[in-house]
Amino acid sequence: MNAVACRYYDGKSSSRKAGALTITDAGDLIVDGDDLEERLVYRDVRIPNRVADTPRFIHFPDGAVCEVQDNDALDELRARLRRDDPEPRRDRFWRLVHRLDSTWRGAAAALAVVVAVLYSFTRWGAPAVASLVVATTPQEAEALLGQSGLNLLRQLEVLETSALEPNRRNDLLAAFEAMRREAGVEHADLQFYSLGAPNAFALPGGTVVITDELVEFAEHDEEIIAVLAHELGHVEGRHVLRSMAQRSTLLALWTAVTGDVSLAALSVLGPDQLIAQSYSRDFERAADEFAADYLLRAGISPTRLGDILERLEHASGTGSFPTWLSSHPAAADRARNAMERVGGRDEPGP
Amino acid sequence: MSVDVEPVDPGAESPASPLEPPSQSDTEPSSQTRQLRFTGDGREYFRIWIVNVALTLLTLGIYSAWAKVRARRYLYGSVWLGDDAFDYTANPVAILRGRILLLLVLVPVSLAQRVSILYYYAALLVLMPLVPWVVVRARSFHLRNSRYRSLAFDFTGKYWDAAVWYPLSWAASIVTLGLVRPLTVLGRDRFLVTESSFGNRTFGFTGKPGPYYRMYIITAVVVGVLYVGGVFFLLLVLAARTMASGADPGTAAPDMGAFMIGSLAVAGIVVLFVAAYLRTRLLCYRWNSSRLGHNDFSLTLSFPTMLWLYASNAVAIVATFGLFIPFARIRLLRYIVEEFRVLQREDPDAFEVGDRQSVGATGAEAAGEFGLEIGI
Repeated sequence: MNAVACRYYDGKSSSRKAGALTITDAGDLIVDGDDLEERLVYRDVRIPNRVADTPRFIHFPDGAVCEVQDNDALDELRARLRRDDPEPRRDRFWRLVHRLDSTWRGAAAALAVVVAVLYSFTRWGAPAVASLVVATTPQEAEALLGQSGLNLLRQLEVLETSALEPNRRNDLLAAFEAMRREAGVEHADLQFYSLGAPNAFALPGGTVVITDELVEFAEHDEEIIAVLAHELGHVEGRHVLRSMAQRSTLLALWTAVTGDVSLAALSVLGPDQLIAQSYSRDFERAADEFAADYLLRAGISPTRLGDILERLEHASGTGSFPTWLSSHPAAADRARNAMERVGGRDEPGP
Repeated sequence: MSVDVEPVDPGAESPASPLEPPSQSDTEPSSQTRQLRFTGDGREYFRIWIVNVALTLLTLGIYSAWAKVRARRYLYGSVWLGDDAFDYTANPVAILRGRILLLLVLVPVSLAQRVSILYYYAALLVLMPLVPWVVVRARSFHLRNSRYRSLAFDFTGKYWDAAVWYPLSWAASIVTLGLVRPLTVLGRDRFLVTESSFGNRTFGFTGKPGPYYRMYIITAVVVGVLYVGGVFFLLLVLAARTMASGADPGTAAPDMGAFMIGSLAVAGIVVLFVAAYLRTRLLCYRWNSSRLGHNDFSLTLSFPTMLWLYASNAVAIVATFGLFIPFARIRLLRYIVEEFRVLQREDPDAFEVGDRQSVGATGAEAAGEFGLEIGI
């Protein structure tokens, strides 16, 4: 019978003796060798599972330890130990794991599983978790978040006080308030600032910011209404909070997987931008639909939104960006979507 | 960024050749410098890691404890002193129990945060007394499951000592605006080292306040310069951008995003420096001031090499969406392990089992053990 070379430690000191492992017909493990005082017999020994080709240490019940470096020989020995009994499920499982992580084919299968799980989680899991977070986050907390963002932008003098005429402002405020009521959005308010560029955005908590430059850029008041309706769509869906929740859910998952928050943060840095933009496109689409619905009910053509967006894009020259790189669907796409929406619905009136 | 640095445990020494010469206890023990060897391979570790991740995801996280033990066993089994590798013997069930316990504590805390920030701080305050307990349990779990030549390491630190060097010293650092921080880190290192043992020998520590102050002063000056310079540069870039901007309506203001990314970059550079300089110097100094019986240790890591390793690892991890993580760990470990020296003055066969490690105790206690792990 083949003996497996081992190093024997008696469990009391760091001194070691060369020995050999063999197995009896009864399934007992024997440690023997010239340096050992006596032949040692162990019953019901658990041989540890194999990890790559690192040495294995067999810990005996009396505290003694046997170290084996020849992993193949030890596996053979273990197979003989279990000749008559079925192999315990635990050992079978670890043999499978070793088969997986000692070959590139196994690693590729594992990688495929990881990609599939992460993709499904990104697509369906994170938005579901985010809905839960959004539903349980108090409105006050969200408003605080938006307020601090707004304060930061003002302190950095990115946003400056609006120079719009009070009458003009009051008209738009009234239109916004009417829209808010009609659409049944509970928390929303409109604020005017100067940014140096035409822009409008929604903050967490329901504050919509529109810049003087956008008001001046619009060729028709209905275009402003259309943009505000779009932003109100973001408020209604609590999109900013939702987006933050979705992305931090992914980070949490990856942290749990890698066991280290800094490594996880580094790993998601790249995909995060792509994922965030894909989420963002979903949100833009939802806000566009919200706006189109409102405009139809208000008797305004939903193409107004597409019109102003197309001109804005033309003015700022971002039209050449491929869609997947931009957080916003191309204006032409959006105009078409709005048209489809008009065509796809029963027109409420002329 | 913190790539795990700890698996390098202080070791004893060993005779030179493999199986044949079983014992050289008759020869005169002479002074000899031994270098640790590292046989880990990035590709091999990657396969273990990706299979671990897949099984962890498929089991909703339960497998993570087994994954931890498997990865650790690979890393320990790849660190050699003489012709003996280290052995990691943790029971995955204990680790799982520890993680569930941690979850049971942390989930209510994060829920408290959602209700009110006041509850959150209250919860943190309530948890403070647990910190020393976790520190002691984590370190003793870690060391008792680390073995070399069949003998286990151990940690005998007491709750109240840990309470002094963790929560209380944090408070002292805050009150003195960080002035006593180097002293408390010295005290913490001495506590961690002198309460550790291998077999029946305890580690000794000869660290002095001077080097700690030097390390912290250099760090404070460089971090200050990096922050001020970084923020100044950032504002300059933002101002230029804002002037030239012409954006379209979006969900958030673009400049806020740019500012966030810029601040993250500055913070990233600072973290990189702290990891490559302060953490590295602390690690080296701790080892160079430690001894086990008559054996000394020496670890010299170069700042440029560590900076290069951390920076290139970070870039590669970002570029590969995290797939480089296992390779990054191996690169860093290989460098640290191979710079590690043991000045051996004692017979490697002369170590005996410690009194706490009588055979029965380990097994009996394992049943009720919580395998807590934290980065110390």
